[in-house]
Amino acid sequence: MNKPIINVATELYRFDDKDDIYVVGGKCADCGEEFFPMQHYCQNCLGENVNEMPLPREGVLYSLTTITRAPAGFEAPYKIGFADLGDFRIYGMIYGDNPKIGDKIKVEYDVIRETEDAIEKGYIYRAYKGDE
Amino acid sequence: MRDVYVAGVGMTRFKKYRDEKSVIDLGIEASIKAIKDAGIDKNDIETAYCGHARTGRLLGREGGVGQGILWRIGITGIPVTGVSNFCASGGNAFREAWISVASGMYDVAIAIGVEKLSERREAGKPLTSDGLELLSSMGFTPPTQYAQVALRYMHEYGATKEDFALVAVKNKKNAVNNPYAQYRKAVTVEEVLNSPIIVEPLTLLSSCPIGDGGAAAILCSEKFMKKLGNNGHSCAIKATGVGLRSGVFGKHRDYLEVKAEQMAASDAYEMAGLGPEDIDVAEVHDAFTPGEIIHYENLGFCGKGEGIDLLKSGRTEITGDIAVNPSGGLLAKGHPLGATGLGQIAELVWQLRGEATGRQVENPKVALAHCSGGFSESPELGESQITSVILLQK
Repeated sequence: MNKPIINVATELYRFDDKDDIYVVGGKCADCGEEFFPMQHYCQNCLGENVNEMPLPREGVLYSLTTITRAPAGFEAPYKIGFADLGDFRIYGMIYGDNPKIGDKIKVEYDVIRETEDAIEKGYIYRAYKGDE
Repeated sequence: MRDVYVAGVGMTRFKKYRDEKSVIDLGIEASIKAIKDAGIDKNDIETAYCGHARTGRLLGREGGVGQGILWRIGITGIPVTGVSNFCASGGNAFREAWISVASGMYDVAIAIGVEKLSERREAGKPLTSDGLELLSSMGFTPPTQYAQVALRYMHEYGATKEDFALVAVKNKKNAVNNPYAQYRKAVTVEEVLNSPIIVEPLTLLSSCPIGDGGAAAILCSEKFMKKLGNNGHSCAIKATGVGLRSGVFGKHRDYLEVKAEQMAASDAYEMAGLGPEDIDVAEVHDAFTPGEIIHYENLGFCGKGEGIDLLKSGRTEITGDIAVNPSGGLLAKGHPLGATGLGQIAELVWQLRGEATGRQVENPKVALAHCSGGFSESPELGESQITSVILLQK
């Protein structure tokens, strides 16, 4: 029997009309303040005139580490870290071959963890070397 | 604001108590010791603050832990405030007690910190934390924050795993002579590096243990301190600087430059009319070995990128001019979250009085306690850092 797929942390990303995933922030239409994650009030002018703002699908790894003792439901080892997506430094699980600080990443839709009941998916960072 | 004194302190040994003692029992033991150390009557206490990050008796997140402790030792009817603010809960409780006396509202306050982690439901699995549900759903665990600090520090300054391991070697050596410490065994760099990896590059011996404990302090006004006398202690201890700051949210957050810490330290120094050069002994938040290095820098003990050099110079040893973590720190003394901040206060009061037998720093006059709580990211995904810095003087 196929396990159902569940999307996790859904408030942090959207899919475009080609079903490509992107991380979503917010931008105030009144004062121009940009923030992540999306919220309904502006962090600067406190106004309500806030629109969703797609963040770049490509970024650079700021930091990363390998988790070798996994929390419940996760299978070690796996990598997590922060990537700079435009001006924002954002957490994500990292896929790719031997990723390093400074590597480029692409934001992709992939498996976060597989439990007994479901496959959980969301955005991940896929690291690649600059010359690919 | 009036001057505030720390008339008495007390703490349990930090360790895994499991079925032996409840979180309430640990709070009772610490409170009774602090009351006796101060030489006050329990009925002198007019207000109470109790710090705990996670645990009520039922291991949930319920409040009322402070009332639960105090009614069992016959202290009832007074205002009791619960303080829950991650790893800084104890330091935060001390600060609130300090304000209650400094403001002139009360003459005598008790600050309590307790935690029991050994019975949590997912024992053996990495600790998660409140407000991290969103990050946790994507595989985040709290130790990864300091792991990334370490790797980023290595990337920027060329530090090595061996350098960080020296923090554990120093602090675990100090704990050998501290009867309150959870682990009292000296280790070598090789043992630190060869212990099991928790999160790259942090090994088991680069990380604080999970444990339980309680600690408490009696704070009072100058008028009350004069009436009380020193209860046989060599001197009176004044709390001259109290800083508490939360993190500053920015687009490119720097993992190595902790603004909350810099501001909390700056507030405390300014209040006391002191600077980092005046500190003789400090208890800092070495939850993981790289933490102590970046705390040196953010508290102003040295410049940015100079933390490893300061460590290697020997100046932060017990025999150094700025002794850091003579108790063994979180790494060896232990880190029962809410109890940690008040455990630091207890150690530093003993150091200033000259009562820290076996690990005594030579005649310290100014002491600094530092707790770093929360995370650079979350509840939920914002900035949740909270740092307390407290200065004590004799």
